[in-house]
Amino acid sequence: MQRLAAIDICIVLLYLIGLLIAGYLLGKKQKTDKDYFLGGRKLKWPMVGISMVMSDIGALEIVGIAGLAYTSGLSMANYDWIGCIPAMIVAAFIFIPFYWRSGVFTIPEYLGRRYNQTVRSLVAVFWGLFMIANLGIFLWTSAKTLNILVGWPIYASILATAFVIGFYTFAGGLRAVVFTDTIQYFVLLLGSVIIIILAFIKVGGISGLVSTVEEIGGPSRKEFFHLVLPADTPHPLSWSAVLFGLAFVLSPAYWIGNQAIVQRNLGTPSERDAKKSVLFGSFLKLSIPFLVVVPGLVGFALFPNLAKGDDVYPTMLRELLPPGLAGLVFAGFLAALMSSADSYLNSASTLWTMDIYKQYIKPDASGEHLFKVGKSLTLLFIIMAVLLAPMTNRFPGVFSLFITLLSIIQGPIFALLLLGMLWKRANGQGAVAGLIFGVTTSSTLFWIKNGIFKTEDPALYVAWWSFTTALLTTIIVSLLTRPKPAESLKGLVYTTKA
Amino acid sequence: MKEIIISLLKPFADLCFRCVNFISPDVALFLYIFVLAAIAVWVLTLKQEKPQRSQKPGKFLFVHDLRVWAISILFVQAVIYIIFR
Repeated sequence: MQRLAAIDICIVLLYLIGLLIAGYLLGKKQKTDKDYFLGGRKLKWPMVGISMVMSDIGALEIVGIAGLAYTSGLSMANYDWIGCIPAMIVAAFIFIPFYWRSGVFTIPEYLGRRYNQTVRSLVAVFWGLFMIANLGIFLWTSAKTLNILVGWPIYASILATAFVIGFYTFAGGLRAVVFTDTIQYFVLLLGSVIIIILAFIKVGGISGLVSTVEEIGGPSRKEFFHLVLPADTPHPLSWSAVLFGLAFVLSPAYWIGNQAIVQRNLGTPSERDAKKSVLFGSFLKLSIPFLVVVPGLVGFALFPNLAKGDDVYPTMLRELLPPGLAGLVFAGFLAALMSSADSYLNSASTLWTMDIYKQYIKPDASGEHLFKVGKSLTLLFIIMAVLLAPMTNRFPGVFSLFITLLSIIQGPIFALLLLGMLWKRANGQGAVAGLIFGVTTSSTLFWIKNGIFKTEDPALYVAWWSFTTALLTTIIVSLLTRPKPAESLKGLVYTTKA
Repeated sequence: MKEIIISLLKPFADLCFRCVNFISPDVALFLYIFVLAAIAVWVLTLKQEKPQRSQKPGKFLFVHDLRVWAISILFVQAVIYIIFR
């Protein structure tokens, strides 16, 4: 197994030390919860746009999407194209300005104002647990890749990455997260471009890639270079799963209702800047499949006999890079893994501080007190993530695990957000019933998935049906119960003014 | 319990599958493009997204309108889907 040369290790160490220093310096002047959780509302829109995208494409996406592209082909690009861009455009013009104007810290806080505190608490707990579980997945993915790539022991890798991420997020809050994400984007971009160029040279360009896949893949790869797959495809991304589950539910739920994504938009100084940041993020999204899906496609042509698709990206890094470049690309990979983990860590801390601690434990807490609580929770959650990380090994693919967790809660929460923002008649009782019934639906569908779905991985269909049932339940229960007074909805529903 | 739920939902699941399986990938591509086009048309119906004078003094150019950003991104996305259908 190839190990990093001395020069590569120097590059990686310099990069990590730089991140630690940046986190420390950016956190020095912070004193209140607004500084720590929203960057003092002084974040620049291009950096926020980059940070949104980087939070979405962590090591999980690079390893997981490249792994699924290795087995399923170009259709994986749907996750970044129709699975992001339409939702981001809608979010930019309707939802993000709405959150920004309302001055909230978190999405559960908005839901609490719109419906009631039960909805706020339920959503905060769902999201808070999801984020901590995902932190564990992120740490495990990165450790596994470091193990393949440089032979580091898995548990030592988990501790090392947790220390770096934990330190700069603990010290610098959202401002440090957004700043380091911006640096990490350019490091990742450089690293990915290098590996793609080297891979294409080795495979003989685009024509070499196509002919090699046709030669070694046979009939099972006839859909390898297509984005739109028939409904009866064995792959999880049939056109119907993509359109209904991904484009109509999971994607808007993610870009509109994911605290880790939306939180940085709330840190921009103006509503126009918030909109610009989302549009800039969607522009960057156009290029992401070339960085994460294409390596999986070329990886199949170069290494067709890997035991697991998730091994393709680490294998390419190990086999293709000459000494000297390895450190740079490796730093890019570290950048990607940290950019997601830091966002989830910061957002989990924000949710538990603002929606649980402030709501139930100390409602009259000052900004300085909440700032300290947020820092302590950051520390606690990174420790919990380290302990949870090894459980990821029980699941077959890391990205499938991420999507499965996401599809259980995202559909119902999106139904609540959509109705809450667009329909004045939706009320708290309807929302609680919709949320509980939606999550029950998604859990039940996963339980019986082999009996009713044609695909082995029906997460996108589950998202669609849990969204639909949550939507219908909320509508029916709201119509059967008393509406909220019109005065309490001012500024909380799209058609009302603050 | 599991078998009872499956037997209840199976006919509906099969019906849904038959419906979506009836639609070919070419028609599905049309649906994708339609979604992108519909969002572009909706964006056009919004009021002009100009910067305030305090944010950007000087002459207003059409690229300052955020709607132009959105429509350009949607257009590129549609072209990508048509190429890689």
